[in-house]
Amino acid sequence: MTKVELQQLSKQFGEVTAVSHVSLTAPDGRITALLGPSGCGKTTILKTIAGLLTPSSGDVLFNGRSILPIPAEKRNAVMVFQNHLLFPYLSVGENVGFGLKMRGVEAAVIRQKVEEHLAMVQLPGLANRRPNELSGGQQQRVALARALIVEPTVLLLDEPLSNLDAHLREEMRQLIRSLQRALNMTTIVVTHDQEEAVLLADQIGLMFDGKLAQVGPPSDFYERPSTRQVASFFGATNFLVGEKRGNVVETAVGSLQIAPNPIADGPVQLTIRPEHVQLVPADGRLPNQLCATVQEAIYAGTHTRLRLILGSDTALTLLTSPSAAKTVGVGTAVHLHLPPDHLWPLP
Amino acid sequence: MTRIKQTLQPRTLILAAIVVGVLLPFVPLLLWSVSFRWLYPSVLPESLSLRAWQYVFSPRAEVLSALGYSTLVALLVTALSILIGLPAGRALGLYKFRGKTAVRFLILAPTIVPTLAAAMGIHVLFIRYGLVDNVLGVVLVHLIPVLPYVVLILSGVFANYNPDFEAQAQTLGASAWQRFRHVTLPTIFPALMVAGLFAFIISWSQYILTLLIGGGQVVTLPVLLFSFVSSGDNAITAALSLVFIAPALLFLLATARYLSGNQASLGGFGKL
Repeated sequence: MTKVELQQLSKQFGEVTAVSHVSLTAPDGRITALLGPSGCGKTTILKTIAGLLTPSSGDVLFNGRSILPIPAEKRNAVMVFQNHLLFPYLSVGENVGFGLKMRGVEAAVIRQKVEEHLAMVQLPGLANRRPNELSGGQQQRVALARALIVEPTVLLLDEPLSNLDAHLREEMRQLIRSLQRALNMTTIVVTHDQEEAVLLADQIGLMFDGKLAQVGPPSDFYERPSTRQVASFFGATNFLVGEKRGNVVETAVGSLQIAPNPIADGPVQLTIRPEHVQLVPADGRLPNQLCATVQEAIYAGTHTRLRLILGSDTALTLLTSPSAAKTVGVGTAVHLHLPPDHLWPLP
Repeated sequence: MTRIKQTLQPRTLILAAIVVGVLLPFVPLLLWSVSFRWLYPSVLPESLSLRAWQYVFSPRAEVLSALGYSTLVALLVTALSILIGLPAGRALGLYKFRGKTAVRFLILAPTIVPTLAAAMGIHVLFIRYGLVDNVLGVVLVHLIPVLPYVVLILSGVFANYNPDFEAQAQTLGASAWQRFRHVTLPTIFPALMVAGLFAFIISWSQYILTLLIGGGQVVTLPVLLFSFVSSGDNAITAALSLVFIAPALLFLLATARYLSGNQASLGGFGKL
């Protein structure tokens, strides 16, 4: 089992800096997701771990030992590319057995292991097919089997779900999760989809412009984002500018109580997720009660999104059940409650 | 069923037309080679004889040695041109670098500039370096007309080549040689066959360059053939022509399937 550490990793392509001083630890036997918009350098990091790229500076450690002197073919860090890259001139079975053949394993052993691994990805008995006879989802699973058969020390998945339809994506995600749990294999997934990262990973590293913005378990990105950019990437839309003093923040719409937190006093932005803003009766018993006017109601099936205006120009969004939303029409005044536990200050 | 028939029939007709068009010109050659007397008004030879064939295969005709020289030169040229053309084609097809257009133009120049003009100058150099009157010199000078075609075909296949397949093989544990053997080679194999076919046939049909650099010491089949054409013996010339064409035709038939079909290495040829 392998712990992967990136230490101050940087990569320049000519004048362009793709990755800048990234330090991250991917714990042993867990899934770590590198998340970020396209072009943020996450695939560059994956290729650097695989050995396909050499970093400009910094180090990559497997279990505390630098692997930079080891060529890619000896690292046993297997990458599964986004477009699965099955060799078209080989059968499905030959594709899966490719890594073992390169290691000089006996043909009979390869055949048996290929069958085992095809069964593992729920494609038993397809060894003699050609890759182009399979569907996109099946090809992706063959690519996964081809990587798993060499028992990689680290499994590197580049956008494993992005080429699949929505229902196949769910299936593939469950397969990756269950195989990873069963094999207890250190896995690093690159994705641009925050939902995918949250559902798949134990730990997320969010990147913007080649820099790591925040690392932590998925819930951190919802409950305690480090910057406004991080919060926005995870769908936060409510930001209130204010001055923090202890557990109180003075804002344009009044002073708000917040839960104790480590952010220094001074100017902050308060954020609260739309699903945490509550509609309440006007009784004044709860803290952080505000008056607002409904500006727009957007019905989205499972919920309704209300856009509200507070005071002169402060906008807030809240999610509520469609039945609750029926009682408040556009233009009506409502009372809001912002639970202190869910108000999070951003520096 | 009927639909298959409908699409098949015009194809069969076209194929038949191609076969007839290619093979028909050989009929008079065959007849000439076995004729003894064939004078103007008669449609077929008046009497037949195997004299020409006996002569062609007799030791004093030196046909067998010419066949040997031609084969040796053509095979060496094919091997060398692929050895040079493979990295050149990969660089031109796959990578961006400064002066790429200029390099491409220089490589294609021999197809525009008359080879003889260049060969005259090269002749002087070859004399200085002892490369005239021997097989090595002939092989080197044949590379001039051969290389543009080989590089062009191979750069074409590398333009559509995805190097990520090699990266994938590498992370699966393939060494540099294994990546070439198990990824690059099978992917470009059809194009390699076509490039080899072009190299072989172009070298096989060189006359002036062989004569100039070989200086009469390296007598390949075309050199021998031209001396018989000027001698005016139609039967022997015809027999010799057939010997000349046969290996090239065999080579073409062996590699023809790479010229067409889904794996076609030459864009636009489509499926026959």
